[in-house]
Amino acid sequence: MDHGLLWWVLMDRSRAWGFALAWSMAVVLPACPGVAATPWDHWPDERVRAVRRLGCAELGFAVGRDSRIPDRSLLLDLGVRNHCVRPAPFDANALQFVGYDANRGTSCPLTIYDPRDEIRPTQIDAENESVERIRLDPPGGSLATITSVCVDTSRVSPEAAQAAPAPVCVEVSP
Amino acid sequence: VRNGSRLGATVLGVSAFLALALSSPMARARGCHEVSDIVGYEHCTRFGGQWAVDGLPRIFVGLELIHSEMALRGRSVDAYVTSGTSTATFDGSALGVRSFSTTGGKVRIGGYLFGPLYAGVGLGVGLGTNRFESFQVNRTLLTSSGGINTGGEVWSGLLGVRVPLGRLSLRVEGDVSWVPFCVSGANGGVCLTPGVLEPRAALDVWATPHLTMSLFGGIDALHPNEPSTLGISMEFHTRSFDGAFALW
Repeated sequence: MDHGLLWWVLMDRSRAWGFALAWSMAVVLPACPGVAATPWDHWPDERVRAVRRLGCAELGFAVGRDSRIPDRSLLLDLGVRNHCVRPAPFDANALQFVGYDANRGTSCPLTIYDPRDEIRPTQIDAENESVERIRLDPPGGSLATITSVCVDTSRVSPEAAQAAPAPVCVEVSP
Repeated sequence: VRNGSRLGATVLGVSAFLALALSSPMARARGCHEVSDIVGYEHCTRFGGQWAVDGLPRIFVGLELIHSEMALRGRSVDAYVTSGTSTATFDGSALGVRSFSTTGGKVRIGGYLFGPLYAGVGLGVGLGTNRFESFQVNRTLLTSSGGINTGGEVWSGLLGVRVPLGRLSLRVEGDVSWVPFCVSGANGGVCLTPGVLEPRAALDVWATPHLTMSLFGGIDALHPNEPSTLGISMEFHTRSFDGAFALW
């Protein structure tokens, strides 16, 4: 080859500088704060305080009440994050919720409200994160006295099953 | 088809291509008004829509900035005269220059077929300033003009393989292009409608899990001794790291 690409670039100074600048931007830009790297800007926010790392996946929880759902239901903010560069399995249906009253004398299992059967075993995309808002319903009666909710996360993935984490408990915010 | 109308048609084509590529998310944004962020109450989104992988195809959409050199030797060139119907066809080496160059942009869209193998299509435009030695076509002297006198388009199909290397990735692909373009001059000009088979190599940097910045170069397989293509590109990917971060 009598004239290679390198020669073709270098034979013109402005062309060479142009490509050098463009390529430097391509390499340097990702290193700038807020531009590259995963920003993790969805959570933890002030709502999602209780977090549990389960291998690649990290889950965050906050529970409160909301005027858009029935009075007896609770609203769960479920933070989902994958710290790894590969997809992480996650089954939100395997989360088990139990509500407690102020002195922990009364407990009540809570079920996820999912009328369209949207929540299925899936995989969290690599280095991804989000927050889902889910309605939690008691099987019957009122939850007016429930002040905290504990979440069993041990079945959401094979990694979680191996780690056998203790339940995550969060206070119900007003 | 002369230079001006061809370029106009190309710009229209690229616009239509862009509109098509971007239409579905825009239509979704316009056509669906989200009423809630609670699962079961949402109208436009579903649980996991922002982060779940299942069922999400590995698609990429990119914008390339390219400088191309089109070697003329061995390529058929058509000369035309503005004031008449006279034309002439001859080998590009008779133009007295080694190559014509264009700089432009190309939109490309593609997806993974299986594993690291992907395919796609591209559409773009190129502009340039080129000169050729004056010559006569039926007593009309054709000379190249100054300024931006070259306009053309690029239609391409590609097939490639991506090698994931962490925050970098290496791609090797074959790009088959149809690159009709014209160089206008005083009294007329010359046009080429070459097909180009171009092996390319590209180095990608993952700026974010969904965005790559790349440097690429290619060689015209039919003219391997000539410089061909060099460019930079920015590409959006539906799947983080196209679904694979490393080889292992």
